[in-house]
Amino acid sequence: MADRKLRPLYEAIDEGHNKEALQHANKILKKTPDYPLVKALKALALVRSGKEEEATELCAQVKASQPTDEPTLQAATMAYKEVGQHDQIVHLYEAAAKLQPNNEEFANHWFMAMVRGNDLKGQQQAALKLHKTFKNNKYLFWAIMSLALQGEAHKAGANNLSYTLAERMMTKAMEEGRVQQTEELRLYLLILIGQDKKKEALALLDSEPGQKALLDPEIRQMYVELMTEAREWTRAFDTSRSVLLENSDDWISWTVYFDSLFQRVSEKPECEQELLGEAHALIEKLKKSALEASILKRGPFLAELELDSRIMKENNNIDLDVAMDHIKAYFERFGTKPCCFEDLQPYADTFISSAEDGTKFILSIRDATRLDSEETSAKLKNIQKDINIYKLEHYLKSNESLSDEEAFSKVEKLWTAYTKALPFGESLEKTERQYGDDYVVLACQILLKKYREKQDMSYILHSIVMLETSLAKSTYNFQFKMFLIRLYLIVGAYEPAHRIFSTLDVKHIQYDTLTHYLTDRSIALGQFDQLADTISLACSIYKSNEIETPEMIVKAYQYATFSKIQEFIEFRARLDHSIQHTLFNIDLARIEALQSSFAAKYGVQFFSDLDPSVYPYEGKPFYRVT
Amino acid sequence: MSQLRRFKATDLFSFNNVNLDVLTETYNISFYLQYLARWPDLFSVQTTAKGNVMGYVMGKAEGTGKNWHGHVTAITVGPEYRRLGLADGMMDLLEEVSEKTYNGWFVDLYVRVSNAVAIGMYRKFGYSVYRRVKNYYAGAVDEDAYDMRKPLKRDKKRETIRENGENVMVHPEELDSWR
Repeated sequence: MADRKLRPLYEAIDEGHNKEALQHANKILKKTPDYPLVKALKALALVRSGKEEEATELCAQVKASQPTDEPTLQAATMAYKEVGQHDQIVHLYEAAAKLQPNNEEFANHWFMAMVRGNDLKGQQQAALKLHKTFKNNKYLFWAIMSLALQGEAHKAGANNLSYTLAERMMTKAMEEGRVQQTEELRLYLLILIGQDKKKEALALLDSEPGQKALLDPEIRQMYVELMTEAREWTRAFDTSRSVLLENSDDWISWTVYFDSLFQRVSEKPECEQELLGEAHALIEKLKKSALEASILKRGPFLAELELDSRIMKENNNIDLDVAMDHIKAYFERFGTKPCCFEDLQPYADTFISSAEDGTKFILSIRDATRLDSEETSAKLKNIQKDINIYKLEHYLKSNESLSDEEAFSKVEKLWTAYTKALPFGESLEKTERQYGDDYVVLACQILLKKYREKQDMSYILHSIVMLETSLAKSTYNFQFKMFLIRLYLIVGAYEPAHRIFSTLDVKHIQYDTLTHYLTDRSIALGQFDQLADTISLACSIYKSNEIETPEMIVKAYQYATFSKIQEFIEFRARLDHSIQHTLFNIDLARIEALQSSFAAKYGVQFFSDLDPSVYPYEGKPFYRVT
Repeated sequence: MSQLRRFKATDLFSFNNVNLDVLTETYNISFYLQYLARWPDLFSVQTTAKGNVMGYVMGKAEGTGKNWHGHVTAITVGPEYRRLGLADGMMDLLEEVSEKTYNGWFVDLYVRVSNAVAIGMYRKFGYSVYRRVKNYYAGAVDEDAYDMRKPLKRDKKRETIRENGENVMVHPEELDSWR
């Protein structure tokens, strides 16, 4: 039949006129009842009009006709996708590939259909068939990857045949010179590492193709990590040391350096002083060159604290005063950086054990910071330093309970510091934060704690006023906004919480990771329509995951990016099993239950219709969303 | 101090402290995963010792002939990790990979002409303006972009850059052409 007759049908479908499309399809089918393409298109129009059963029935007829033309296959694929029967697409292309064994495209589609459905065994068979017929190395690696994934899936079981076979095929491919690309080498590595064969993996990187791949920075990282995992400490030590001489800010190398250092110490306790002396010398050397560079890097200075802390944990044989001096010196140098508090946290944990020590430390760094400097740039730097001192104090005294007077006087102090800092920020861009914003966050933390002790709402209202006032000065400070959302929900004000949440412009993956800020505490506040809208919108990410992520896994195969396939599968599974999704579904069900229970019998009806499988409390692994 | 490594798909679950920043856009799943599937070595993340995301860079390799180059699609650093020199570490890595793995002629990026801070930073990294793209950024008020470039070793004669590129105005539809 001429294309001319099909065009209106296609157009109607493209434009979403499903009713019209059905009329066109029926007209054509009247004359030519066994026209698979038209049946497939009709199925598509049916599924889009909500008639899934009829659509499925038609799809089955199309499938039975074993089509081998691209338009019919495409239309049937789309219809099957939309009724959610991905496994049927596999059968569709499997049959087409069998009828036309030399059609490479069909066989590719067949393989990819199984990738989408995560049918690892099927994938492997299709890839082997592709390789046998079309002799392309790519297909061989697809087959090996499919085997490796099966190996990974059955990791717990003894005698992992899939991995064994994958490794054997890979060794052979290597001998035959088929392994050319870094990603193919990565495939080999992941097979070895998946079986915990660290020594073999290291040997692979020691071989000639492995050495060539070291051009890739990540392979270099894996190389050093494998050295430590294979317990080749001297090599790991030397390699990390030479990397550090190039880049003293590389914390991965510092970690390897210290791990291997202390391994060597435990192997040769008599050399302890010599080895530690060497480490101190390296740190001094790198500190010195860091001080000469244009941007002062924190790496070697933080490494000094890390070395102290490791010695402390190793044998406690450390002069605490010296360690504290190192921390103070670090603060003196980097206290002007917002991240200084985060940097020092673990070392404060290690070296400051009592409340008195904490007080002494805070006093000494506060004394050393001269807040009365006249010069503006020094003043600005001191604001950040002052904030860091408050943060450290807050952290070190987090168990302490303040009296009402103490709390208020502290809040007062912080608020004054904040207002004093405001004039310095007059020329800041609208998108930037004011210099003293964290004072406000700290003040509100104190009040929130008081509220938790006393359940007195006035603490919360006080915080809200401070945060709203400050938000007007730093319009985009998302920490303010998130704090405010929580506080508004505590006082039971859904409206303003929702308003602020909407300015965060949460979207895509953030629907899963951030929506809970607003929704998880909102059901009791009675704004059911708004809440249901927010949740329904957020749930779109799970649909996107169903549609988009499988296509991206397909792409990873097409580009032969083997290092990403497991990662994408994990990503897909995490969203598939998101605990947040279940929480959304529960909230939606509660809202619907309430709204349909205006008469008892409808309420009962609602619950008897409820499908409990949508709310999986057990059986599936949950991923925590933070 | 940071740990610089490849970006993983699952990092999307924990990049909010960076992406909540108003100037950092959050894209759909396909956007990130497509970059990861195709140019896994041009998408890197810096994390703290604890593993918190500090910033990331995503890039691609594109073009034909002498226009074959690395492109910086996005680079961003979270508010509390700025002024630590993280961006230059990430740019170094992207340039290294563009040079050694992809054998490109140069690396380029687009920046709003109003973003003086970023332009200054890229100049410091060795980038210069190659041309100005009319209304590249659509919005309530459209804004021009500077296309900034840094030649790689392969471009021995430094043919891929030019002086006074600020004055060379092109329209977005002409962008694929070389020179």
